[in-house]
Amino acid sequence: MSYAVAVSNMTKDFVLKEPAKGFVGNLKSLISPKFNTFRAVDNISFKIERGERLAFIGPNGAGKSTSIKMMSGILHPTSGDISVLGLTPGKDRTQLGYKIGTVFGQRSQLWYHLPAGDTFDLLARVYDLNPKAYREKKNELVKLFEIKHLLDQPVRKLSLGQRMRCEVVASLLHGPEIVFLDEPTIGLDVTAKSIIRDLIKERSQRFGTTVFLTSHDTGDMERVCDRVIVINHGRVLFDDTIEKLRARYIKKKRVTLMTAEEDLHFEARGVNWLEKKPHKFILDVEVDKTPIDEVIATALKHARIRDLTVEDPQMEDVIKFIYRADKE
Amino acid sequence: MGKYLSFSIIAIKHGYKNKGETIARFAFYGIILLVFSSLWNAVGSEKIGLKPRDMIWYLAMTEWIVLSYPLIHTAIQEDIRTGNVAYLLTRPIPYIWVKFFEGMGTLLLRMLILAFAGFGFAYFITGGLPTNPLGLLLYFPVGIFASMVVTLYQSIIGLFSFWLQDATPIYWIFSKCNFILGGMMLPLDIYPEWLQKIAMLTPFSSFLYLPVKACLELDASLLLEALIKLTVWAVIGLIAMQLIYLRGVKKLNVNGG
Amino acid sequence: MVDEMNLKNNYEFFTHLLKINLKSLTSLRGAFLLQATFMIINNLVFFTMWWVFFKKFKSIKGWEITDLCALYGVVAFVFGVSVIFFGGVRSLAKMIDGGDLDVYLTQPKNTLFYASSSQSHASGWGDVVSGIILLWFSGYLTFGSLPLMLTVLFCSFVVFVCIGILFNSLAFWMGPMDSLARQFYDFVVTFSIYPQVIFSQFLKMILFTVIPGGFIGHLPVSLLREFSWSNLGFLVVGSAGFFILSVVVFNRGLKKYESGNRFIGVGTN
Repeated sequence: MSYAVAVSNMTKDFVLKEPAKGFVGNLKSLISPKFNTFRAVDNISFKIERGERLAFIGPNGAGKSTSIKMMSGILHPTSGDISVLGLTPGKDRTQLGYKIGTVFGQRSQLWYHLPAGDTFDLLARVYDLNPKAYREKKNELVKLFEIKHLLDQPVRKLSLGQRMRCEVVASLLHGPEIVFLDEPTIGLDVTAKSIIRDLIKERSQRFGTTVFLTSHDTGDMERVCDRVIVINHGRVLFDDTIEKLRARYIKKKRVTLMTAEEDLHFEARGVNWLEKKPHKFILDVEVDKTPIDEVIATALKHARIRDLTVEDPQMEDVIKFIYRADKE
Repeated sequence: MGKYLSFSIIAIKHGYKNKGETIARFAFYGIILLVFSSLWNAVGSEKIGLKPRDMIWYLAMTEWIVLSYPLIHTAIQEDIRTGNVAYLLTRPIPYIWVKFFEGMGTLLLRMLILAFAGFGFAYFITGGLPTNPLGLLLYFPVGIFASMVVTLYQSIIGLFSFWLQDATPIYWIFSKCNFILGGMMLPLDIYPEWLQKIAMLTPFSSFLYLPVKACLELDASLLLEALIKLTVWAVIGLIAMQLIYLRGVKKLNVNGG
Repeated sequence: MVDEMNLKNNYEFFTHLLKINLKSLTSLRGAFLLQATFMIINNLVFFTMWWVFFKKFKSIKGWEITDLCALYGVVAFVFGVSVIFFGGVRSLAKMIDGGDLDVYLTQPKNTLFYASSSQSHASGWGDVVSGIILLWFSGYLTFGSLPLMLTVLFCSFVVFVCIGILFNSLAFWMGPMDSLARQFYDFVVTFSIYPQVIFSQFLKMILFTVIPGGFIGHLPVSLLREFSWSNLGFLVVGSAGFFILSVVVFNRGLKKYESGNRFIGVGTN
C-alpha cells in the first residue's frame, strides 16, 4: 500500500543576512553582506499511512511550520525527498492542489467582507467541483460543523472559533485525501478548541482523511491524533503513538486523597508528598518503584478514603521533559 | 512647548526609516519636472510672458509644498480604526495638537530632503537658476510657512474622521482645490479672469501661487499679500481646529468611540 | 499543466472571482459609490487643467484638445478596467512580502492569475465611466472606430497590467516595497497622459520600455488619429512582449519565494 506521505531526509536551510550594527557596519553589509545559514529542519524522515492522524508538536521555532509548508508545496526543501499522495509538492503543484486541504491558523482564506458561503462557492470553482456533488458535500459539512446559522453573516462578524470552523469546512469541500493544519486552534478558547478538535477527528474517521497537524498545544495532539512526532530545533525527538509516548515518559502518577481523618502519613519508595492539608493529601508516585495499587492499598490501611483521584502527568510536562532531555 | 516638539522629533525619526516612500516622492518629483519642462519647451511658454525656465522653477516650488505635506487624516483614521484614539484622548496633551506637531515633524523632514531634490532636478533640467535666483533663498522660509499652514488644514481634514468613517473624499476635494485654485501646475495668470478672481478668494491661492510667484518675481507687494493672507488663514485655521476638535471629542465620548 | 489549460474551468473561475469581487465591493455600498463618484470627479477635474491650458495655447505640436481628451480617456478607461479585473496586481508586492501567496500556492489554479484577480477596487468603475465620457467628447468614439478602439484599448490594458506585475515582482528580490509599488502606478499614469510629441528622443525611449506610457496612452491615440499598420503591429507586439516578460519574471520570483529566503526570521516555525 502506498503511503499518504513519505518524507526522507527533509532538510531546510534558510540563508539570512547577518544584521549589521552601526553606520559603518551597515555600509559594509551593503557592499559585501555576510550570510548566516540557519537550519530550520534537519534531516527529518517519516511516513504517514492513509487515514492516519499525525501531530507535529514542538515549541516556537522548532521547524513545524517550515515542515508543513514543504509538505504542502509552499516551500522547497534544501535537500531530501518529499512525496505526498505519490506526488512531489511544488513540482506537481496543480495535481496535488486538488487533493490536499490546508488550514493555516494565522491566515484566512475566507473573504473578509462576505459570508463564508461565498468563499465556499468560489472554492467550488477553484477545485472544478461538480455543482451537484459540491452542494451535497457542502450541506453535509455545514451540518457536521454546525455553521448553518453563520453562513449568511460576513466573516468579519464571526468570532475566531466560528471562523475557524468555517475555515476547516472550506478546506474540506473538495474532499481532499489529506488535510494540513498549521496551528488550527491558536487563539481559540477552550470550548472552541474542543469543538474543532472533535470535528476534525470525526471527519477523518468517517472519510479516511489523513490529517497532519502542527501545534504547540498538546491538547490538539491528544484529542485528534493517534501518533505524534515531537520536534525541536528541526530534529525529531520522538516519533510514535501517543500510547507509547505515555508509556515511555509517564513514569509518575499523581494521587489525590480525601480522607475522613485529619492526618495521614506513610512511607513508600518513590512516593513524594506534595501537599498535606487537613483531610486532603497529594502525592506523586514513581510507578516503577512502587506500583500504584500498592500505594493505594497502603493508604487504605492508614485511613478511610472518601475520595481518590489518580492522574497522569500533564502531557505538557511530558513534552517539556522531552525538550529538556534533548538539551542535555 | 517642549513636549509638543518631542512629537515632531519622533515623527522625523520615523520618517527616516520609511525610505521607500521618500524614494518614490523623489522619483515623482523628478518625473513631473521633466515632463513639464518638455511641455513648456514644446509649446513655448513665452507666449504668455513666462520663460520655460521659470515655469519649471515655478512647478518645482509648488510641488515642493505639495509633495511634502503629511496625510494626517490617514494617521487619525488609523488611530480611530484601531481604537487607539480612545486611549490617546485621555492624555493631558490634546490629541489633535499632538497629531499636528507630529505632522510638522514629518513635513519638515520631507521638505529638507525634497529641497535638495527640487533644486537639483530643476537646476539640472533647466540648466540654470531662475531669472531671479535670490527668490529661491527667499522662498525657503516662505515655502515652509505656507506648508505649515497647509499641514494645519490637513489636520482639520483629519478631524472629520471623527464623524465620517473615511475622510479621504474630503482630502481629495482639498487636494483638487489646491491643484486648481492653488495654481499648482499652471500659474493662475493663465486662467480665465473669473477663475482667477475665485481662486484669490480661497486659501489655496495663498498656499501655492502667491508665495511662489512673489518669490520668483521678487515682487514685494505680492509677497506682503501672500504673507498677510497666509497669516490670516493660519489664525482662522488654528481657531477652527481647536473648536472642531472639541466638538469631535464630545462626539467620540458620547458614542463610546 | 493540462488542468490549468482547461479553459472552460478557468473561465468559470475568473467570472466567479469577478462576481465575488463585485459582491465584496457592493457589500459596502456607500463606500463603493463614493469612491467611484470621486474618481469620476477627480479625472474630470484634472482634465480641466488641459482645458485652461488649451485656451491659451491652441495646440501642442499638432495635438489639440480633442486628442488630449482621447489620451485621458484611454488611460482612465484602461486604468479602471485594470483595477476592476486585476485589482490585486497593485497589492502583489504586499502579498509577496507578507507571505499571502501561500494560500494560492496550495490551490490548483495559476498563482499569478488568482492573486491578481483576488481584489477589485471601486474607484475603477469611476475611471471607466470617466474614460468613456472623455472618449466620447474626444469625438474618436464612433461606431466605425469601435474595432480599432477596442483593439488599442485591449493592448493598452495588457501593457498596464503587466507593467504592474513586473514592478511588483521586484518584491521577490527586494523585500518590502509596498508603498513604492503603489506609487509606481502613479508614475506610469503620469507619464502616459502627456502627448509624447513633447518629449526628447531619450525620454521617448523610456516611454516604450521602463515606464511604458507610450504603449498605454500615446500609441493607442496615435492610431486613432491616424491609422497605420506598422504602428498597430508595434503596439500588438509590444503588448505581447510585456505579457510574456511579466509572466516569466513573476514565475522566476515565485521560485525564489518558494525557497523561503525572504523570511528574515519570520518563517522559522
